[in-house]
Amino acid sequence: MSEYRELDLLIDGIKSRSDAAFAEVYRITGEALASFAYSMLRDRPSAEDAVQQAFLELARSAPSIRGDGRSLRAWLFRSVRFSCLDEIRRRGRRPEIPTDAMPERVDVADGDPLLGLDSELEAALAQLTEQQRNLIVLRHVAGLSGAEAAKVMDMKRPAAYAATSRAEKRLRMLLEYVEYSPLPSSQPRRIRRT
Amino acid sequence: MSRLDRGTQDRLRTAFDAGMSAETRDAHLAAIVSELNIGAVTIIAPTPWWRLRAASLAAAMLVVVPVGTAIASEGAGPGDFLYPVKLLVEPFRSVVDSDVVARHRADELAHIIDTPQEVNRLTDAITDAQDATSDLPADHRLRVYVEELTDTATDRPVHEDRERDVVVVTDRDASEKDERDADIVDDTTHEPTTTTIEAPTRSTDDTTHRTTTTTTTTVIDDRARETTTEATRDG
Repeated sequence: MSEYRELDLLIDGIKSRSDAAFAEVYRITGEALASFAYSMLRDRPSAEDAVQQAFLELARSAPSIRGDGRSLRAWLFRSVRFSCLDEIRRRGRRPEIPTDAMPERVDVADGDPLLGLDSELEAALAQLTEQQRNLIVLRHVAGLSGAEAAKVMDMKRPAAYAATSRAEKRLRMLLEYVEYSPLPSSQPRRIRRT
Repeated sequence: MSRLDRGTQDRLRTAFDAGMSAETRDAHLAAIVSELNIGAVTIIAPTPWWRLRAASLAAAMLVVVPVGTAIASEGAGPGDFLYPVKLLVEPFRSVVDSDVVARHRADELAHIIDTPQEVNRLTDAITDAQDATSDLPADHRLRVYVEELTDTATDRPVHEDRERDVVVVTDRDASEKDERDADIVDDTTHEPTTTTIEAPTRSTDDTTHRTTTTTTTTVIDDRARETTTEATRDG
């Protein structure tokens, strides 16, 4: 049974504030929510707090929840996004991505392939806008549909599709650039998010 | 093609794996259950956009409509549709403008004086204006203004005409009315203004020994201050 089908069946339990329904929804969506929060905050404890905050808010607002499983899932991601934005605002600064450890040239055969790939990915993602990063994570990490991602990001559906497409294209180009044209050693060592 | 390949997707999932521990999950579930078990639930329902707009519109209308009506009623006079609104607003306006009531009554009186069709409201308007300015100092410009307007109103020809009409209708009957039209009468006393004096004189002719009577009629016009004498001989 797909996640959406499971969530559709659980929506009545959520509205009636059933413990079991909440536990099941947490089991289904908790990990993806934490990944999304982590992509925004780069801090695991804060990401976990954002997930918990979203479920506590769902517990308070449960009787007024409308729609099906997809709506519930989008609602949770949207709540996590707002919690993360509050956290970022509270910190008073945007997180910086350290790129000191980024290899100049990745040779999969020579070293730890996973570590090398992650660093490349980090560097490529740092070149995207925050909105593009969020859309990439929502679509490819959390597995949300385009419509759900649009809802989470408060965007019109066509605008969300177009922005996602541009983000994917740019990410692909950046990854190819890192792979075939490594950054020279004189390149700035820190990339500030834009 | 804009989609990411599976390899990149796997890298993304690995990079952003939050890796929540079992303890964290249990703590979260415990907090959620605790929240669910709280009896009093505060429902924070997201407000629909149309409800927000409707509320904003209603709030704007609540401000705009009364203020607009109050402004529109500023020029209303007695008998107008918005005149009660004007009277209703006056106590509130008088908090910041103590002369507003006196000014309104004076303006209304001035309007009625300038509008012959409204002459039947004149007496009430004068009374209202005098009442509204009675508490003001004697040399206050509004009080002086109302006194001048009152003088103007009482000296008006239309006012005199109205008084005359009242006198004619109430004090004279139809025959007197006809008489007034025919004769020269004083408008105030209704008395004739002419006095007629007839003075007969008798004389005897010495040669014929005949007696003749002559009547001299003198008409005195009081208004013209003229006397006309006419003699008629009899016999």
